[in-house]
Amino acid sequence: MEYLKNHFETNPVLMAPNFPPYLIWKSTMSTCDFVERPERRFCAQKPYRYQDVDPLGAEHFIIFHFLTPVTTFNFKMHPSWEEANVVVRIWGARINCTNGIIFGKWHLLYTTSAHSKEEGDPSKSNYMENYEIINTMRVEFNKNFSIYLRTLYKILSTEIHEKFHLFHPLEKLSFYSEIQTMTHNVPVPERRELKVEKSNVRNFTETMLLPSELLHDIFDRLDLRSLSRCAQVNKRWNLIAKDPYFYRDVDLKMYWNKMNGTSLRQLKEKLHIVRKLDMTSCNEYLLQDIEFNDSVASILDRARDSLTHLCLNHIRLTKHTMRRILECPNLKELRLRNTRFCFFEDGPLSCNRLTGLKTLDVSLSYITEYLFIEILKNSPNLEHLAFDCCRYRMDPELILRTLRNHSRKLKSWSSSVTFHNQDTSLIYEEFGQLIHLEHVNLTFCEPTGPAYGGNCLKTIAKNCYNLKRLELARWDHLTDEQLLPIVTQCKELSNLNLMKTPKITSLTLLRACENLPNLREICIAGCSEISDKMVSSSS
Amino acid sequence: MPQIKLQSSDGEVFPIDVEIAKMSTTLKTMLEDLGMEDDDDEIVPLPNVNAAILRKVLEWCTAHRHDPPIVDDPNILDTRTNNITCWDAEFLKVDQGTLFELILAANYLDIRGLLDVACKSVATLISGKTPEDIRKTFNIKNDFTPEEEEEIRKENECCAEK
Repeated sequence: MEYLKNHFETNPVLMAPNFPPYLIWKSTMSTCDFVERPERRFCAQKPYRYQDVDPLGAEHFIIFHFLTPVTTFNFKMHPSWEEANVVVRIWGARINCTNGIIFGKWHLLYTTSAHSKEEGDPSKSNYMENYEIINTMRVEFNKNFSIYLRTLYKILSTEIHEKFHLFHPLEKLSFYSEIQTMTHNVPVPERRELKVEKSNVRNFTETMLLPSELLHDIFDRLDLRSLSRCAQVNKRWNLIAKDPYFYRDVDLKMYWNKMNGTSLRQLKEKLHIVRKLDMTSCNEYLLQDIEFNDSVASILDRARDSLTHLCLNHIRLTKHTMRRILECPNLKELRLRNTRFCFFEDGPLSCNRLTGLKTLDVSLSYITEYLFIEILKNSPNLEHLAFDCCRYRMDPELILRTLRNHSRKLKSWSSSVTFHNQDTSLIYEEFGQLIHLEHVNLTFCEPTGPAYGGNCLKTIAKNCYNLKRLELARWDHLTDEQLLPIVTQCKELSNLNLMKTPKITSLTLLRACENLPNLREICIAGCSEISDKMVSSSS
Repeated sequence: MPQIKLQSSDGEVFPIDVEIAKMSTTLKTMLEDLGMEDDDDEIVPLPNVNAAILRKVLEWCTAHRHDPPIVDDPNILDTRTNNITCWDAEFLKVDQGTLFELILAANYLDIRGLLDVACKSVATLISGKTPEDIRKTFNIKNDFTPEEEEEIRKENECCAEK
């Protein structure tokens, strides 16, 4: 079993003196999208198309908005970026901050990759390759978690922050860290160049050598970029590469800076039997982009019956598009993380065709309570629900009541921060009705009032036999006694997160170790009552 | 261990373990349908595969006989990656003609693992190349008119350009 005693202390974002910890950031300071422990595997999103998985993980990035335009010539790369395994890619653009319109396009300013480490003089690569004037910078990292955080820390505390703060004050800093997929260390895939000698036999014609069925097998294993290039080789290849069959699962987040209304319209023809579609970040910087939304809507129109997975994270959606999404009858997974809805009146949006939904993620999004409840009411098969850090106020009681009446198959629930600082004393007793719950994340959602926390945990312990993972981080009033029913009755529990619960003592640790046979990880970072000595004695 | 005999298109006979033969879905179905397991003398003709290729295929099958079967379960994370193991990379260091014939044989015999790895190695040949490079690699003639080529380039430009 693993004690994560030190996780908190080693989290560099929390250490950086100039940057207050997570959640204390005001919206005026930054749009803070930092997820404290980004490893909730149960709602981790699998890549929709393995060929198009970016080794850099285009979902892990920081955005710097500068008040005044800066020249890329000013930036010097931090030495840590030259370390082995660190892969950084930097994009820059000039964006009108008020309306989000890009002047020109995104420029690739700097890229380092594990392969090119040996070549060239390292001192040279310390500067940006292209000279551009920008006011927005997007820094992408590889997914290696520790390097990611360390590099982030160095940027925040040394290079850009201190050095450029005076001259180019940061207007806005956004930090995205998507939920980790599966493991912490995703190494950069090593590309093995296969040296295949050219065939000596030249009397074969190309058609005989590469019959169409064989090309079909090969194209199915190509990434979108190569596929688009193969389409330009000759007429026969073009015809084969157009087959919508290769566009069943499409991951466009790697091409985020290429996507707009026009390019989507060209893709539209190929996407009419698409099953899984991921368009994360594809129009993040275009406010009220009608053309983009029209293209998305017409893709959804055509692929309505085939679409099962849809991921529109960090996108601005119009009502028109939202209505199309809600009309997809076979949708199983819908992710609208940090999605902005460009409509202000709720109006009638019918959700009654969305009956097959299993996974719903609306974390960080601007979804209204009304629409959220409407979706829940119509999703009897919902299993995974994540609505962390919702921008609008949500009523926990209403949500729980709706779930109890309509979605009783729920397996995972994540509402980190959403109910933070709400006066309502949560009626978590309703959790007792959701007996299939396996993962519950209630970080920052402690019920107010003396007995509620204890009652809530008592009901969960009594009814949720299958509970495997429970997160109660930042429950300031949580005591050992309140936690007692959980550690004695939930025998399946494998992960328990008690980060920053100051009243918890080593008694809970002892009880947990004695009673829970499957316990693998218990996080006690920031628990001031528990000393190292007690940890070693109880383990 | 029970054996069966496979005959290549050019007449060579290969006695192999039934266990290895069953890695080919085509052969497995055939053996099950005909109940040939007890009958050692029957020779299975494979008119689409020549001796050189069949030898390669059997070499691959022998090396991978203990691999877990590939399952189509959407709930399991797709384990297919762009990585090709060292052994396979070494095994596939052959000329283009042989590589393509291997794919065809794997397709015909329905050996998922081999088909996958061979196609992937061709995919690695293609990826990162411009259309012109691809034509050179596979000795393909460009049959587009300049106008058509420009049109197709525009159609595909959003994903094709770096």
